Amino acid sequence: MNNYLILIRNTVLLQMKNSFARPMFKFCLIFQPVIYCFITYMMYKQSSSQNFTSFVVLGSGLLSLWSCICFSSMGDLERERYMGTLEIIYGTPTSFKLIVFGKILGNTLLGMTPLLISFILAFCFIQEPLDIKSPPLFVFSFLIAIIAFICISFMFMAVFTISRSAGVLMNCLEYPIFFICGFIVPIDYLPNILKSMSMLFSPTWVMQLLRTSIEGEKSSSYYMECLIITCLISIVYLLISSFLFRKMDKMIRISGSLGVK
Amino acid sequence: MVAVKRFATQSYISFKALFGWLDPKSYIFIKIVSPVFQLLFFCLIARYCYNTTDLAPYVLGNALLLCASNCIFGLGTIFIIDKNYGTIKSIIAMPTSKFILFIQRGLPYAIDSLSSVVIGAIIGIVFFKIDLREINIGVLFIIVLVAMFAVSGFGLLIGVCSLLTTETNILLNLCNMALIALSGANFPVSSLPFGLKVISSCLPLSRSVKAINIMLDGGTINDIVGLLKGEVFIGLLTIIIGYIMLRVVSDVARKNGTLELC
Repeated sequence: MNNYLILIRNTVLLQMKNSFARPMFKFCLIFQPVIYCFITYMMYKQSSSQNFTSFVVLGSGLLSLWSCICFSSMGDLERERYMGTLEIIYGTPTSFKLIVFGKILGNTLLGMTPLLISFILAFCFIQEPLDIKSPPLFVFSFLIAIIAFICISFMFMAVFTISRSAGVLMNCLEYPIFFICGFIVPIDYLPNILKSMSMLFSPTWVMQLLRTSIEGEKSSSYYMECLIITCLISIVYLLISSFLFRKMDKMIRISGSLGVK
Repeated sequence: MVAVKRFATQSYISFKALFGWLDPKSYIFIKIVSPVFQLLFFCLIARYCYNTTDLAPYVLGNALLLCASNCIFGLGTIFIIDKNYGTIKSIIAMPTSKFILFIQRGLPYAIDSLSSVVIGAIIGIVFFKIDLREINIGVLFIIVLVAMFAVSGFGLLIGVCSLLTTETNILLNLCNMALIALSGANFPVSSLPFGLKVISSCLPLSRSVKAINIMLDGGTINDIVGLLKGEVFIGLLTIIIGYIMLRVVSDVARKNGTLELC
């Protein structure tokens, strides 16, 4: 058990160092939250009554977090393949899924930095009051958000490792998830077809959890409903990723072409 | 005639080689799907924030921004891709005019970005049910062409700047985001702090976006001539600065042999 924890810790640290060395990740981590915070704040200023914390701080932070996930976790195995290290990782006696988990955990934890940057910007520079109706519920929702993002990253990582179009898909998943999952604009403002689609993504429900804890407008039963759905969708994601990783394993053993797909 | 044909062929080959035009799927995803989602995202925020159904200024403004993404990420990487492939030495050493080379490489990206703008605008218009019967489409097209020219110059300038840094991705993304934030497509430039207003006035697109807004408010072409002239001036200025920088960079590279090291 202890060995597993050491392995995860080392993978997390290594992944954080590797990710931070990449310019795109640095951009998503440091510059993007600042720019998104600025854009959303300027638009918020022109708008009528809205919740600043939910709209500007949480919105811009989560936009950057998703970009971090898009440009890191989802393409990490593809990157390892490109560098010729995927076979080595796969061939080690340690569970491949555990290494992948460590990578995703490292990226997701590092990806939380934009949220912190957004909070600091809002607190120090914009100086608007940060209004969170239920701080304990917000912290809890935040932890659920981390778990949900890890699960969805797991699934997309598996899909992108099997797909030949990982690079293209990675670039195209950023903005659709931004608006389908209601990171800034609540999904009620989406057309019905997109609204139905958004229900399939756990970030949509995570946003509901975070918004409810910040705005405190919805009932506790609604919060519980969102929480249960988030958990259920995340479990489905894990099952799908487990199936895909098994499929990948089978394909590799048959064709022996892990390095070239 | 032969020279024109050679120019066109070289432009096409350069675009095909450097853009990674390997299959239509990649092209459609990167040049159409992703930019269109960017447009829809910002327009939805505008609709939500300003609580308005008149989204024409935001749809058209954000459609213009699509040509910015196209030119910045396309033109901004042309020299860096050559550097990575090891072909930059041949380009610097060849006797052909660098100015021709500069324009030759920019042209297909500028034309290509027009398709992104048109497709983005059409999807935005259909999605948000925008009525453009009042606006003069011919004038709108001229504004798009002028904007495209200005952003292409800016893209070429960034392309040369990318030779001087290893953090190309950060540079390209920062420039793209700067245009999204400061062009006035999503909120009025007048609401920006003074320093950012000055930066906005030095960047391409802010005048084109303003011109579109004037046209939507019932203005005539006479009302926007000054803005379009300003946009053309920005385009020419960035092309000239970019060209001078390319000359300086290539001269320094010839002397020190360090072009591929930075």
